[in-house]
Amino acid sequence: MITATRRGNGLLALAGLGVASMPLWASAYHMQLASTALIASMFALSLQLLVGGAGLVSLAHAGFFGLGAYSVYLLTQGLGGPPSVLLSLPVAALAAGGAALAIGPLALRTKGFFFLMATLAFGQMLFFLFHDTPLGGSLDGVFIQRPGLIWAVTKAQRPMVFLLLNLGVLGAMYAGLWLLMRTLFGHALLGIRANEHRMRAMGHDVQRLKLAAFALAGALAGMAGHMAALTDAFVSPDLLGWHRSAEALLMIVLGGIGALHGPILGAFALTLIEELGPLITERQRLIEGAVILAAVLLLRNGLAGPRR
Amino acid sequence: MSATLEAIGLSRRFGGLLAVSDVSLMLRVGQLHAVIGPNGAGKSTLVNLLAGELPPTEGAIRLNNADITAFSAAQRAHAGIGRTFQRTNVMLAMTVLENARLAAQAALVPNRSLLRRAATTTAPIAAAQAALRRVGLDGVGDQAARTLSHGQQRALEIAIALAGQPTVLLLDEPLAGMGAEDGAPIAALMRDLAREHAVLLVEHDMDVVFTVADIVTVMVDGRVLAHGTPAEIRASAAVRDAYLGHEVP
Repeated sequence: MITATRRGNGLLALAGLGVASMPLWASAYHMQLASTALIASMFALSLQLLVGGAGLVSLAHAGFFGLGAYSVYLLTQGLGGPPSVLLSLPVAALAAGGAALAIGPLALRTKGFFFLMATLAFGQMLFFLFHDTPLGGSLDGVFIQRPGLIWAVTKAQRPMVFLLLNLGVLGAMYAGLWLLMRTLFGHALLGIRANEHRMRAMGHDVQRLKLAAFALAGALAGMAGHMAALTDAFVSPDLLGWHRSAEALLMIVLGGIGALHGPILGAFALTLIEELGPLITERQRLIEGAVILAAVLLLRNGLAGPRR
Repeated sequence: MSATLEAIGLSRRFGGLLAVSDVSLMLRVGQLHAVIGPNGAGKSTLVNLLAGELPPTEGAIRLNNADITAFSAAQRAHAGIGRTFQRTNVMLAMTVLENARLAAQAALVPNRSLLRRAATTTAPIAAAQAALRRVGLDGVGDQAARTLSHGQQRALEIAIALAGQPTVLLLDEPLAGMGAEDGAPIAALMRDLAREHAVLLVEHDMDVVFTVADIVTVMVDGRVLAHGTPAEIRASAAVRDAYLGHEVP
């Protein structure tokens, strides 16, 4: 997986500034839409550590996203009131990362198609944990009290505040992963993706490296889920559904499986397509399908490809 | 001279097939030990047993008198056993230097230091560059491995093994698919490597084997048929019979 050059990062930073300036020129609706794209970017970016980094295609990832979201609800229940975001965000990351650390050793015994199926099974277990037990509150989801921010936010300020918060978390996540992929650990993950068998023969502890990536990606997905709960003030078992993982995989493919910033481009593109599709036809899924097919067939490296 | 790597009564069964049967041998630093035999003799299975790719059904493996039979392939690499593969097995999309650097990283960098920046962690880079120099690939370090010729990729196999700082080198047909012209430098390199390493060479090219080897083990049907110096093997009637009447060079 490639990481963006200085120029590429400069362009991403410019795009980030564009998003950050939205409170000056965009409506509340469009700021909320941008927040949705930012959260989708976080989620897809966390999965990219596994897919583009270590070559692990997981369908359990939405489970960790949902776990991060539900940890806000569970924390509120446990404390008898909304926690501070300074508590809820690390708790969401730890809960999701801990679950990934527990699932990882079992799922990572398998490879390829069997890993896909094993992660699907674990992801569905997490889904049913919140769907079929009292833990999740309700089958249809529950409204939650938002974690307290450091300062009081009025209803009118929320779209702007959440937009900037989500942008900040995504920026920190991207910068962290950009740095991580330049470390010896990041290079070892790329080696595993390129040739796991040879990495093992070289003496790398492949299983431990993959588990570390799996747990970290889970923790980051949990952070994304937390930001979704914070932004929407609503959680539902649907957040943990396997189709959410598949959607994140689509964002990665659309944006570029070989580039760290690919999922961000893919998440924004897919959000845009979902928004514009209904203007063209009532069957918007047709448009999404056609665009994704075109991207796969015509842009081998996704949207990130031409701008490497 | 004490044995560096010792195989004691190694056997490996695949269902009803006994691929390796009661094989014992010793590899010593300073010696190039060749294993020859017809196709299906169990040579590559033996390499895989020694490298930890396969567990033996019976027998033991000792490295510097320590039992490493239960070690995984990665643990054996850490213990000092480097290997090449019969079929080129490198990271084709990565650069030549990165291939060797990753091998050096496994040997030289402890897990607790994995969050260091790769570009400024000099020890694995220096070890990788030295390994590439040794095999004559120092001029192509920045190229993707897939752009190398077949002969260069075979040399990269050896560089990767060397970058892991091994004491024992298991070379599985390093000359596979190479002509005499490309093979000559690799043969000279193997002879050179045997000065500082214990080298096991599996090779079909008998001219090369009898030129570079100090000790030759002949395997047939998974068993050791003969064992001795190249001169003793040449003179063995049993070996001649095993090669279907073809004269051993």
